[in-house]
Amino acid sequence: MSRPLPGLPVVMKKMAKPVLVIGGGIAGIQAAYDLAEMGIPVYLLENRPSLGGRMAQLDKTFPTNDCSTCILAPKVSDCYNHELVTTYTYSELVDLQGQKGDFEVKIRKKPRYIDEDACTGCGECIEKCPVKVEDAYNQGLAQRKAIYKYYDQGVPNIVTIDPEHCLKLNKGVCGLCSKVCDKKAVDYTQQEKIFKLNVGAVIFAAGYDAFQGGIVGEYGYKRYPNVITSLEYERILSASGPTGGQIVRPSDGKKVEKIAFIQCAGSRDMRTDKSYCSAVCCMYSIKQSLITREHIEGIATLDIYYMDLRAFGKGFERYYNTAEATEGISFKRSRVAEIIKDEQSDDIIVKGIDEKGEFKEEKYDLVVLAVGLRPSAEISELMKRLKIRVNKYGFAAVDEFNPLSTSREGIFACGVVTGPKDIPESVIQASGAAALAAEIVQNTPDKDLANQLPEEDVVNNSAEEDKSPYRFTGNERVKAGVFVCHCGSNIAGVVDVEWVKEEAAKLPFVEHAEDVKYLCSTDSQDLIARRIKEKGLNRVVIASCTPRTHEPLFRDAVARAGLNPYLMVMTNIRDQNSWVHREEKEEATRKALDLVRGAVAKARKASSLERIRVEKLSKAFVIGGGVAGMTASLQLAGMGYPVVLIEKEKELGGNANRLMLTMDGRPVAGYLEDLKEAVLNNPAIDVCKGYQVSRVNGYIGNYTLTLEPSLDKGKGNVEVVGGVIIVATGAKELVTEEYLATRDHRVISQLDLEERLRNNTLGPEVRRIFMFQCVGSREEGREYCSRLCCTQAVNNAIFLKERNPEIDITIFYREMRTYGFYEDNYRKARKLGINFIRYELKAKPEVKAGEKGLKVSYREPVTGKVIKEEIDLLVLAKAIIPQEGNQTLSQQLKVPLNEDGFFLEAHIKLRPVDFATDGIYVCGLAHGPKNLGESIAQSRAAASRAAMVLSRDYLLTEPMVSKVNTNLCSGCGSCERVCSYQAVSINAGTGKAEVNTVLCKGCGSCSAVCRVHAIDLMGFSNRQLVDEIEALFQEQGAEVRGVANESSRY
Amino acid sequence: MENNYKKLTEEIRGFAFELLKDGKVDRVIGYGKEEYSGEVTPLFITAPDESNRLIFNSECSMLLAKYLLNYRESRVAIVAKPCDTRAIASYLAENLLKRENLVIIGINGCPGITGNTACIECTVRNPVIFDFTAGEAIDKAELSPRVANELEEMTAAERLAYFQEEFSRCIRCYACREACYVCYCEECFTDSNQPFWVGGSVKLKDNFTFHLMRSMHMAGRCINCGACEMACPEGIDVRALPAKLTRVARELYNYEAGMDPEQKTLLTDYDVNDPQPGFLD
Amino acid sequence: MNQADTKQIDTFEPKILAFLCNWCSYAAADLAGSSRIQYPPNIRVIRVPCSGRIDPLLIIKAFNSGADGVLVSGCHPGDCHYTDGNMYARRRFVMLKELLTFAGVEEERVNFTWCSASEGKRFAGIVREVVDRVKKVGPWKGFAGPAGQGFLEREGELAGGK
Repeated sequence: MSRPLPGLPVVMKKMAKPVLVIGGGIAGIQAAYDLAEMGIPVYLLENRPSLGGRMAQLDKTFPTNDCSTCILAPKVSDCYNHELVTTYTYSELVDLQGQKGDFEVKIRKKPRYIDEDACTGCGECIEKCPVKVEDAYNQGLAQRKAIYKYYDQGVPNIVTIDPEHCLKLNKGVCGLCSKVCDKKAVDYTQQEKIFKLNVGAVIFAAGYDAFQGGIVGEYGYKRYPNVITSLEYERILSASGPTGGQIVRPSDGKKVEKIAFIQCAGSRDMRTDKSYCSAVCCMYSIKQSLITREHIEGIATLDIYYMDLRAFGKGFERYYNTAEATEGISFKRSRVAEIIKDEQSDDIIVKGIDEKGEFKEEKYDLVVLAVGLRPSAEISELMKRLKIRVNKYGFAAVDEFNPLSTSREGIFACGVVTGPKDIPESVIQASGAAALAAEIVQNTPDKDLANQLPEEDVVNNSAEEDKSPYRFTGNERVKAGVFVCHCGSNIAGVVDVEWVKEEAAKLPFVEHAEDVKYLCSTDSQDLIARRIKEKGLNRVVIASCTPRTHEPLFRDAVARAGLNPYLMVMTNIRDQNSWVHREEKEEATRKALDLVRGAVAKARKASSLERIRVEKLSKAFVIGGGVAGMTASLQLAGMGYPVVLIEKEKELGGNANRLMLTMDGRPVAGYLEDLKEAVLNNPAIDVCKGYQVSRVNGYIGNYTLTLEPSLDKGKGNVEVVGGVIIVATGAKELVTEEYLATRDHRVISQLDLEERLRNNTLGPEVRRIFMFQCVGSREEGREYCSRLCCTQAVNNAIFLKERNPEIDITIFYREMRTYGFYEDNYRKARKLGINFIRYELKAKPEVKAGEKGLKVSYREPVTGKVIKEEIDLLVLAKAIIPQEGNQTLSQQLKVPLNEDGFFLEAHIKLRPVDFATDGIYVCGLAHGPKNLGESIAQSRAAASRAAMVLSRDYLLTEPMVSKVNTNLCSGCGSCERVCSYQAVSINAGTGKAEVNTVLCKGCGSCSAVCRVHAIDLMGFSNRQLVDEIEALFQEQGAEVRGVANESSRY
Repeated sequence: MENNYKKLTEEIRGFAFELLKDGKVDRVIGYGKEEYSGEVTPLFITAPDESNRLIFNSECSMLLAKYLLNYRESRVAIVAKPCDTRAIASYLAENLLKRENLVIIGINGCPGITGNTACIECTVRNPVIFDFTAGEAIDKAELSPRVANELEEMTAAERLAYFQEEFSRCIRCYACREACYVCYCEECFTDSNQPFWVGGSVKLKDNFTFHLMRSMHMAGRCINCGACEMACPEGIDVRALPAKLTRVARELYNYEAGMDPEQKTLLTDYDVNDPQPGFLD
Repeated sequence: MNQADTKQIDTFEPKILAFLCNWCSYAAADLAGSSRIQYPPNIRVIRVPCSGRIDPLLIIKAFNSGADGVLVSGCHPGDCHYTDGNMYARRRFVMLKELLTFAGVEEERVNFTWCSASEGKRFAGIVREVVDRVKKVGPWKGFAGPAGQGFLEREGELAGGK
């Protein structure tokens, strides 16, 4: 099955020193996968028994309501199965010595009491284990056994013994798990292992923990069963959770009708040291409320208690608006004073103070505390061992210009370890950190390691000589070998495996049938290879477990015998048969035979498939010379790839030319000058100022861009070639006339203000300043938050106030969205005496030009009175809007824009810098509003994704792609229209469809819309599927007569 | 009515004459009379003085649009009933024709074809795309189309029996396929052995399957012109299934095939909020 | 011989073809397995990369081949591993179901749904539901019915002097 990521096998030029990635959550997995795809070996360390981290515990993800498992699982297995990733689960870092380029790490592998290579994850032992304990994966809401899988879809799919509760380990009795295990995988004597690794760089992605004590405890958590945390609620919502997705309350299993979600449980809390904003809780509570609505149709009440609703990310505002418009969901702006249990029942009473200062109380069935994110004690300990600096909240300290670099050179950080953030930002940071780590290790290649790895492993199935390594079978009669697995007693305990084997042997085209105890064992792999050679088999059918996990293994076994691996077909008689029909042995046996018959029919029509080698260019295009474009260019150049940087203006720098301070208060000017100089002086970067793209031709690895002069029209067009394109075209400030903007010189934008402060041109006569937020954002036609204006306004206000305490500043806002650590700035501004007044969209303040000053009237929110004031300066937080050129560029590149006009990435959660079309990436403001540090991280991420292509000597296509029979094709274009990857197109010359196999992902949409069946998906071809269907429904006995499919046709 | 046809014929001849005389097209496709039987037949003319052989009357049932596929590279004028123009629009949407090679002489206010039951249901009586028109346009408001619903009122079992009876008469001559503008495939699924979609002999099971598969291929494409039904020598109700899908496309997706050369076909488009009637929760 | 003849209604165990997309529904079926959630053994699964791969002719073919019912399950709208394959599939399936039911195939035999990778329990429930639905309408007697006849067969009868 083809992967949506480039997914091309790694072909390495040189052997780089490995990188250690600490943490197997989404951030760690992303970083490890990116590095491995760049050809860099990775050690992936995970403390828990399986990979997946927090994301594996989530039900759905905002703002698309994507199923978390559905999108995470393929990524986990791609990473885990990558030939360059060595995963150590249930392992932790003990010590780290050395420096950038040469670290020595000491790893402790905790004893699982299980032979990891022998365990098949069948789970028989789990069923027999008599000990039940609280299940941490389900947040203690369910129980697991003392021998357990961390979660059902966990990777690796093996069991672990909990040494605290195992009877054998503690009391020397029981031992049932060992008795039922045919594979003899249980080993009660296993000891921890300590070993050393040498790595060139480290990526720290250990994740976070949820708040537990403090206010969370005061709110009744752990005292009242019906007060739960958001993470627990996430498990309750999950279809694979303790209640199977049924929303019932913990105390009595009663159906839930009223739920309160309490925001900032532990975050933004001045009384503790956790006074930052956790940045994700508002959104996940909205998500939980919407999902709850889906689960319980017509649920009466879902109340969200909040202070400021922080929907600041891409697509968040719309999501929030959807929730607001959803019946039953109400947003209550209210401070929660107390949460107590009702004396008469298990209900929970929430007491709050609303904006008008009035006390309100209400009774709920269930209260969900939106708990914030913090580093756990183990993570803090880990940071000590890594000797990296932490900030005042205990997160790894980073700064805005270097958002991914810790205080120790060679150690990079990504995800929540550097501060609260959501999944896409963690993924962006992970890719960015991978690029930084790659830069180090690529420049310190490891000679020892290159010698260690055998040559053929390094350049695997490369079609180096364009000669197939497989036997030619085209002229042979079909000879299928059927291998039926017992899986110990997992299959054989239900299915009569021998009978299936005997019947299978009678099927047409079956040359050999055999049953094997464990097909996945190494000796069975050898057996299959031997039988292929002995019997001259040219098709292999494996009847065992799920191809989702084991297909690569059996493909390998077949390939080792010189047979094309795509002549192997698997059918699943365990997960989807013996495990689910345990009481219906006869029916399960018949079903197994049907499935085998279907698989034989499908295998019979299988074709040999090969990867095709496609040459590629190693140069990158970066469109846009702002901070994002420059950072991406430097990052690529640092990794050794030449860059063409295209900037339509005559100067580099973009919007940053006008910025004064970063969000964390550092001057931008110096940084920007250094950056420009570095770009201009870098011999690998070819800067084309005054040019824009006029034409795009080609595809991943082979692009030709025609550049036209944007300023000096007298110059001619230029044609340049390269392998990938990074879109970093930025965004711009809204042009508006609202509030007298552009009509009165006393009304300026925040950017204008920064420019004046930077140039010191704000006169001393300015004593009273109003700042209006959300000018043009979050209203009709622009249903998004511009994200950085709240913090920008607060920072500029602080800057002014600190220089002149006499100055009077008032900020008019709709929601204060100073997310994450920027909450500190907000608090500081309030302390300094800056006024904050909230206004509603339907009652905006009004501005008139006066003789001396500007006359502003507004409604005071608590009293409702209209107040009139005169001020010297009005500063508007104008919306960040997409560039006008986006439309043209998106058509040239054939990549989409979202409804607001920003570039739309392939997947909002897990592919935040990719487009669906391979080879094109996006970063910075072109993707959506974000601050400087976030742009920098995303630019490095884009460089990382681009390097996954640039690092290869050539590209290899996926074998299971669509193919066109041009004799049949009418050129109607249906295939082209349904292809999401620009992989199918109608050739203008021939008028026939053609597939770009580099871009094709093998989804098969094109083949399903082609009426003449001219385009077909290899590996799932029409002839295979049609024959499989026929075979599945042949009556029992047909195969006994030895009649082929054809006979039933005529 | 007769006068109308006379006038239409005159107008058509006039256009054809001018086009051929000025060398604007190489060929005009229209209707003429079969020399011996006097029946209406497709007529292909290449010289201006042949124009007076062109006719138009209520017997002009064949869908001429399909012939255009044989003349993709040459400049052709075609006498097009409104349903022909819809077929042409569909072809243009599927890149099968070049608009610049084509001159469409549209028939305005099409009165319908004798014996074609589809015309009773027709609501498109004016050409949807044309270069010239003959006749007077009809206001849609004047129409009172009848929609067949006898089958809709039957139970599933009754309908099954009805179609079994109908399709049992099918001799697999494929006249329905040949008449249909949608069926231009180089190789029809029913002629394919690899894969073997459906048996080719006249077993009811396979006849039924053939008609289902054929209808599915017309989903979102059928313009309900009635050509298939007119062509069937066994008088089978071969139009009922595709016509049903045409109604469904209208009701669920507000979709009419062949109304616009820029149109995406129904099944190569979607809306995230598409209805999903009958899906399991 | 017609398959339907051998099927007794009271002990009727239907054989149902299930098309499952690799990334969500097939994963859900696997999860039902690893969670040991039991469901009736009446389905025969064909794995496809995406519900968008399923040519509606394959489903007609299944009924032609003797399937008593069909179940198609893809990723939930918005969850498609290939962006929007399931969106195109949805229109095709709606049209196909309308066609089949209009032609007289009982609605209960034609089943479409969405199932995510974490919905193992739900998958088992869907199978139970579909099996019940098909059982309710009994064995599929084929497009020709129990005494299906075609043109040639009728000619044969006539020639036989009937």
